[in-house]
Amino acid sequence: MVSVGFKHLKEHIIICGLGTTAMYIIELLEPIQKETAKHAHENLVIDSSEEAINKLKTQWPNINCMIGNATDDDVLEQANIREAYGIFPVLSSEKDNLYITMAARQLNPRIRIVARTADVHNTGNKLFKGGANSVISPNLMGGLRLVSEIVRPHATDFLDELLHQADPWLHIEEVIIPSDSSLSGHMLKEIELHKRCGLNIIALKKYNHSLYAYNPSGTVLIEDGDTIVVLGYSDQIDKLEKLARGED
Amino acid sequence: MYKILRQRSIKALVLVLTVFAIGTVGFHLLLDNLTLMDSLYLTVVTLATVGYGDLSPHINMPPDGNPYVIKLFAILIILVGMGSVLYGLGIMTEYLVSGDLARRRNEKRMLKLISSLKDHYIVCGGGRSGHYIMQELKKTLRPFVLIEKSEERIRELQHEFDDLLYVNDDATQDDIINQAMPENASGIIAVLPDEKDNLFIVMSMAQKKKRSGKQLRIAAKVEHFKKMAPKMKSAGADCIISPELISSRRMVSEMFRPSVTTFLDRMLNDDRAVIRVEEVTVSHNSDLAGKTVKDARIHDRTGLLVVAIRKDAAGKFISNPGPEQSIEPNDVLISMGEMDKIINLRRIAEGK
Repeated sequence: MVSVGFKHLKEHIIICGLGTTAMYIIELLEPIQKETAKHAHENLVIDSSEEAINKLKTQWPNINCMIGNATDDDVLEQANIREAYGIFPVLSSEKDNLYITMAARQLNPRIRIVARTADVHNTGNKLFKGGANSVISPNLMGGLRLVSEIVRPHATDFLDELLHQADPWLHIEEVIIPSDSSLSGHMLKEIELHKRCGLNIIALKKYNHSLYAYNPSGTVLIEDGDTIVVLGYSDQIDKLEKLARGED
Repeated sequence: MYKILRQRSIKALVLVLTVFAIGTVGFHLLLDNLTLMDSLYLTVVTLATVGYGDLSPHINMPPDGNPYVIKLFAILIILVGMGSVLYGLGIMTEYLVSGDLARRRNEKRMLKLISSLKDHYIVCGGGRSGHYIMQELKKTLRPFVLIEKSEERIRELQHEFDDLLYVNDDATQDDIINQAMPENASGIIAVLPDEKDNLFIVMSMAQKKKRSGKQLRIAAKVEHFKKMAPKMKSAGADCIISPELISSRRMVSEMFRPSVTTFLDRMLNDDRAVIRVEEVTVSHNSDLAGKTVKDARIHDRTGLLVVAIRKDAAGKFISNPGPEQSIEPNDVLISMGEMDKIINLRRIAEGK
């Protein structure tokens, strides 16, 4: 059942290492794959333990899997990594994940690599250098989430509402003031944004600065090319964009 | 104090060794047929006041030896040698006992500092997650106490957290958690590696909370969300997080979505200052209560905008509150900004 290879797979997603994370990923990928059935990404799981693979098969009978060591380039070749869409190196060993990341990037310059690490500072940086598109640390994410839920439960709810698209969708938007906008040349308090579209400006980046000023005061001057950051519903933000372009 | 004692112990050791060396060489030169090994043996037997009688200055006196010189040498070795051995033992004992005393004194001081805390957070487990949790608590200027079993791990963490408050023991024992003063705390976060231990902590804290009727938020880390979350919930956890699950979600979305750094990401990683989206609750005796947003002049007083108001605990948020929006007691205000400004706003909202 093993080394037949998966050369026929294209635009697939390779999952290296069958741990808790891999199981969650397989579960989470399923609805996405159903949704985008037209150009579905098939999964391919690689793990060195036959026992683990057999266990996976009882739960997901149709899943593609290979028994083998993903840190072996031949195994990656058999998984047709050169034509894969993406890869999750989620083995328990940090070194192995780093190796797979580097090998995958070498074999396929356009593959998406989303790696996992326990140590953001040391291994995390190495993974980025090795070619990972994104590096996630369960310890860091879990730790920050636990703190947020404990120290600021309402603010956490609020941020969740911002991040999860719903209808109507409350979100943060950055609007660049076009040149010759009717807004430029005025102080913040003069443009009466709240009266006109129900929005407050939560941050502002001057056209000649790279950093944001948060909670700008009413006396700040708006000029062409400035970026204003607002938090609001889509219709409010549409109104603001029209206003900035002078279509109101 | 500790260092001086260490130096003195080294001196005492050198003294004892010198006496042994002089005794060995002296007996070897003065007595008949004694090898260096025999002489060392005789010195040790003498100074330990054992005196087997198989070797002695008397028995091994050479025929042409001067008994006065030999006896005087023996007397010298006995007096000086026993003196230095006793002195050395004394120093060693003091060294060991004082280390113990210093540790006990330190523990006492620690407990005193912890008992003076209010509205602090308790972190059970100083592993990787615990480490990140403490970093965030420190960044956002919130006091916390760590409970960690391994003394070595605490030493490591002390390099990063200068004034770390900790209880060096097993967090799954009730009397140990109580040392971290949960009755005065705002929250407790259980991040021990074993999820069963976390369940135990949640249960015992939930009981305590019920009995005291105080506000205490309880959070726990689990590994197997489906299996453990219902148990944690019924045990009384306010928040249950599986780092594996939330990070897997994130990993899957990163796989399909090109990684764009959002405004929020950039804000959270601003290296000029610690910027957070935070909340404050308006108390009855705050001067904000009963005013409109315009009259409360929050921006003038704190430099912060209120980005949303929540009127009741699980209700909808009023985003972009206008100047005429009223602020009432128990309202939760959401604001975004530097931590010192947030703390200032909290002081005003709590009427302190």
